[in-house]
Amino acid sequence: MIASRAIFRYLAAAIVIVLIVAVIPASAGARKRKVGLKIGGDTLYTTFSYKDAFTKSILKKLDSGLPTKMVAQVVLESKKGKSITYWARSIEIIYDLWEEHFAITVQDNAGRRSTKVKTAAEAIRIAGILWRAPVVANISGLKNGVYRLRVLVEVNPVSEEMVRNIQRWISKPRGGHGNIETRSNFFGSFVGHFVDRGIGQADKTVSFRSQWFTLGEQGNK
Amino acid sequence: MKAMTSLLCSGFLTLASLCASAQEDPPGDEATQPAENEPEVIVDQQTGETITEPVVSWVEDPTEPMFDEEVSPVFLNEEEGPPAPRYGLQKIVIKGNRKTMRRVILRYLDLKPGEVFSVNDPRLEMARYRLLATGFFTSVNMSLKRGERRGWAVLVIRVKERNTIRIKDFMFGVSEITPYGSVGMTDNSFLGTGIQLSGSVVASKKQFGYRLALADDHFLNTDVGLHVEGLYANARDFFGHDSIQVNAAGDDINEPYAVLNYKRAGIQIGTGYTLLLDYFFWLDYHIEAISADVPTAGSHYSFGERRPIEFGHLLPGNSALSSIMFGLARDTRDHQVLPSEGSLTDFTVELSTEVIGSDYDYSKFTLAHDTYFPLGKGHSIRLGLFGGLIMGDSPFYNQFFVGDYSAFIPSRLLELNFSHLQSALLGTSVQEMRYEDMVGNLNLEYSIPFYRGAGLIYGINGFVGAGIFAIASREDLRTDPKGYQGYEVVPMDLTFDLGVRIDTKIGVIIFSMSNLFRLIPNLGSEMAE
Repeated sequence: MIASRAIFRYLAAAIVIVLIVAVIPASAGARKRKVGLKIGGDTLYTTFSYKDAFTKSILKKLDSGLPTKMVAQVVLESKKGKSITYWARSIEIIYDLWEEHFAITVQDNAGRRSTKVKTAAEAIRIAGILWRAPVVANISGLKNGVYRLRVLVEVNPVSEEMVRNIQRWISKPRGGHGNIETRSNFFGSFVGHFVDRGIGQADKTVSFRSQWFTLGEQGNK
Repeated sequence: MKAMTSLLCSGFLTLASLCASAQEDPPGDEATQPAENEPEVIVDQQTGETITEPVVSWVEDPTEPMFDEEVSPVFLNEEEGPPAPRYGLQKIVIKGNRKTMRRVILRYLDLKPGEVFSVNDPRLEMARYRLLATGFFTSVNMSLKRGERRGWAVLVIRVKERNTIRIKDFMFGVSEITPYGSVGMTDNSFLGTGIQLSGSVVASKKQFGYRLALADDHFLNTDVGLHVEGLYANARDFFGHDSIQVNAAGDDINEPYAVLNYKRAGIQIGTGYTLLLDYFFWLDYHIEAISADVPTAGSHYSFGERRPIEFGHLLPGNSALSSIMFGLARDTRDHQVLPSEGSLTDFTVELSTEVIGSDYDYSKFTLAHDTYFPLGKGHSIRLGLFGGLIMGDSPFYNQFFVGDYSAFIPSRLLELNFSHLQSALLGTSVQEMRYEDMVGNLNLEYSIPFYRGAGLIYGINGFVGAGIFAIASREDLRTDPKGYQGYEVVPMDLTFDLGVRIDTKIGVIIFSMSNLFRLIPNLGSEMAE
């Protein structure tokens, strides 16, 4: 009888914990940033800067001789929060140790282009600004309405395959440990810090939403 | 080109949900909605913010620069860009490794001096993450410097070491028989060699034990691991229940339980190998000497009648146990301590026979499987299944112990037991069971992420779990279960637990209901009996 009462006490506590967690609000969304917009023909072009993605540590890596990779992603979002279109561009910056220049290669749905500049500042100006990027095509096919852009820029993103590999390396240390329990205790949380904070995260992420704007027959007027 | 495409795809992952929505919701769908249904006031679906004015806020294409400096359109070459630079690797310089040996770091890098490599070579990125995955470093950064001759480069690996020593197996409890506790330490890179050294000590009234282990994941610089472990225990265990009669010295005495004193000292050596990343094979040999002071006779009331006590198959006096163990594990979990998806399957076999010098003939099989079902936002449900079978006469401490499956009975530490409690929540014949040869266990656990951090505490997960298990020996199945009727005949019981799991810089800490029982023996007794 005493045991039954104790069971109910603990079950009640469990339910309370679950309810508390269920009402914890979702994390706040991305910040807002005003972007330049232009309609040309049937295409929406946008212009904005994300040079704040170049933090001190990333600047330091720029002339390391190893590639710095960036991915800028732009989603057209309806007022109901639906993602309507998607556009992305990848940028790679490599400093050539012997030629002493920065090679910048850009790839998006318009193809692959490249250029060379002498200084890191020039490289950042090219790689850190999206200038009249044709982010939405066929806007006449869109319903008249209010839209905005959602932007995510990642510096040195980690591929899903690499994330999976890293998790595997961590989960299964190569050793002769006799049983899983031992391995869990010995090793698991030891690299927990890395798993939680390092894997799957880019060196720097910049995300924001644009102002609202109208598209469609009326909005384009 | 392929690398760029891959990069683009990897970036896509972050907005995977948006991509999915974009694919599922073509613009045409949006356009089919009637315009008159549009609300005057727009509510931002993400933030809940109400937008009143201005609903439309165009920033026309800037004729004036929007930024703090002059911006001009970038004219890029239309042709294929230049290939990534390639250099000859003159040498590798490692900086920041005050403790970790150079050879330990180099084993994770597949590049060798003299090789010609591209700056996009995936081996560089892989080496960085593999070094981080060792847990020896908080950061690993790579850079190139000009070599002595044109076209050559020096690879500089800069590491920041972290403390590799941590506490483990720290536990304290008070059973209805004795206070008990354990503490252990492990150095994941002993003297910077990459070899793990760990030790644990367990103590209680009239019992103590310790274990010392060394494990090298790259024995002789290969991908084969080696593990050596020593164990010593001066221990006792508690047998029988209900009106015990023991004849140890010629006289019958009444006690709440019969005590078996024993000592064991052993060593286990094994090897392991990871195959195809997800699979881990291991093979161990175990040998130990046992000295047991087995009571000459004893009886108790069991299944409604007086029966002899089975003292755990231990041979009186000195004996030897020699066994070979091998196992196969498949681990696809996303995290070792706080997983939210993937699965872990572990199959083990242990064989002990006189052919290899053992006084105990038995074979033991276990199969464990945990599957994690992600529920979003880090929440997950774990479904756990465990089955075990022993054929033959294994020493009791190697059998399946009821306390390992019930949260209401103190678990063993280094195979030392501190309690005589029985599992009796459902009042079935499971209360006759303690050390048995067969077990089946099904459990569910709901896990809730409370916190993720980078400081002293890496993560906190709350959990609520419940399970059902059945445990028995073959002879129990042949015994007439007097005193039990209906479902009570089945030796099964329920268990549940509730608490938080904290992954910290110094080790894993678990606060749970079952821990509480271990600190308050009377509460534990109420729940168990």
